[in-house]
Amino acid sequence: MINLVIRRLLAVIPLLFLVTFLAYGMILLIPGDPAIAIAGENATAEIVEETRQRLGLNDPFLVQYGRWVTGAIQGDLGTSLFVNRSVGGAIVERLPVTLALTFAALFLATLIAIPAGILAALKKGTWIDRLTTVTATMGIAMPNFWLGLLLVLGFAIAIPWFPAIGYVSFTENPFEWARHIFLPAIALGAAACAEITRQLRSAVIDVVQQDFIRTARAKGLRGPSIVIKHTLKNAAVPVVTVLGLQVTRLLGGAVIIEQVFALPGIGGLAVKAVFDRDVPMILGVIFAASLIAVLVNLLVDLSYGWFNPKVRPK
Amino acid sequence: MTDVSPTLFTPGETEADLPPPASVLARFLRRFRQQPAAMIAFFFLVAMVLVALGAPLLAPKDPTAQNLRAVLQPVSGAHLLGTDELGRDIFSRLIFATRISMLAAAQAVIISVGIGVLPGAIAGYFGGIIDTVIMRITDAIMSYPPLILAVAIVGLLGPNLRNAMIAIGILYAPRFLRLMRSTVMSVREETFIEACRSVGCSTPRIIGRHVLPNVMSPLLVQVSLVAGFAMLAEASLSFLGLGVQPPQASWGSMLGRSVRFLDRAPLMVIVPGLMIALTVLAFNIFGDGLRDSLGRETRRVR
Repeated sequence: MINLVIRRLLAVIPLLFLVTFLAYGMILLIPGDPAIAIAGENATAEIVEETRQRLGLNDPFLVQYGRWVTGAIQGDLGTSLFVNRSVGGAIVERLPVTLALTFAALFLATLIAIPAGILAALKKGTWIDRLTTVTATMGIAMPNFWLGLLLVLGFAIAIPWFPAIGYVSFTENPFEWARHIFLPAIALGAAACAEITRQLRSAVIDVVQQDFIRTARAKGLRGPSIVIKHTLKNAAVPVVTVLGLQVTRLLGGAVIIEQVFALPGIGGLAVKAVFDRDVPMILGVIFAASLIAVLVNLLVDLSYGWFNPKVRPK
Repeated sequence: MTDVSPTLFTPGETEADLPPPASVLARFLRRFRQQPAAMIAFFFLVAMVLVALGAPLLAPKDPTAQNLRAVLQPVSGAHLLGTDELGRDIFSRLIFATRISMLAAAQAVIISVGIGVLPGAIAGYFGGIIDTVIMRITDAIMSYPPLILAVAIVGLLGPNLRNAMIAIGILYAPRFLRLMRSTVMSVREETFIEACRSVGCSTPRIIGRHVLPNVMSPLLVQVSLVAGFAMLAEASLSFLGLGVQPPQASWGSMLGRSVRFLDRAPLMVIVPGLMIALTVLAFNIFGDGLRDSLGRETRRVR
């Protein structure tokens, strides 16, 4: 197991390098002169030149990247071009909201998906299965922000159980926090829930058909014991893979759900940065988001070793 | 298709009872027709394409004509779905938005295929160091949270529909790349490729005549699925105001504008979202139907 941990950690380093390199490389996408884009279209020649000097845009690309990534490792992502504050500071301030939303969504999605997926698989072919499958298919097709708006319409306006917008931090008031995060988390998590349900359903169906389950049944083990002890641990491997992919997708989806519910996460930061063409802020947000995604997927990779001893290196 | 796919026997049937070996198209149609959900999805998509093409004929009103004395009107005979905050006919706007949304999805898919297919085929066919480099870059692109990557690309290129489609194209290119890589990789190990090489076929001939026909079916399936995802992504970006710019509208941007009137004009929120959900659903179901009807794709266990 330790061997596996070391091996995976080593594999993550080149990936992180590439991810940050491509993120910084996107600066090359800026049409025309980046210095003009950053300084603003109406800037005088001196200001453009000053911007170029300040950001070191005359240096070779690799030098620029090296400087940016060295800063990033030390937590310095530069200064926002619009609000006079550090990019890192702004992200750290807003990241907890986005993470809370992402993991609340993942939690609710898994909470619903596990029983739904198992039930659908065990009752394969019945109306329960069909209902689950159809609902899941619709959950994947539905735009999450639309679902969010419908939830606001239903449970904040028509029946005012939940607040439509806003955020209260967990440390301030856990109950209000839950009330404010519930609808956004449902909206964000619905597609993930559908995806996990489908995956779990087919994984359980696969495992249940295997010989060792028949053996366990022949030995006289009862249904629940077979499901819990024998089926689920084997069905967990493909499901955990999907879970890792979902975290990445949820982090992206959080951007838009935050806008719907006016939550002060990094989504608002990113959208504002785009309208302001605040390049350091855009780069900072994508750096932070991809860093989290890579780390979560590292954890997922490591959990394979626990669920499935076959992948542990000898 | 030159391969012989395993014929499925139903109990009590001998080979003589099976229909005579039909053309690839006929076999596909026979299988596809047996899937009612996929057929409905197909006709729905055809209808959407027709609406998109015939928008100027179908729309009862000018979608951009404002009437500030009749804003946020409820449903009526004059305005089938009411009017928006500038007094524009929502039904007509919805019809014209179909055009933008369908076109946007098509553009994103074309860009994705354009970026993904060739490197994927190269990686799969040649393997080795080329494969490693291409796959590492793909892994890196896939480890960004998708919507944040799209927002960042649009942010750097500048917010408009074309750039949004480029961003979404980049986002989904890895799907085509990985698909091409794995299909080409497995096809090139087939005996008929080895036989062909042994009689002296050139590499371009092998790729063009023998590998490509075998990757077409999974590619088509993926095109349909990605069209759905691209439509969702376009709706998301347009909702945020980063995609289509006024006075043009897509379903997503109509939703984005309607948020402020959620309590006063709920139809403005419900209808465009429903159109997105139904169309994406149709793309997904159609894609699944294609998968189940085409050549050697394995059938899903239901």
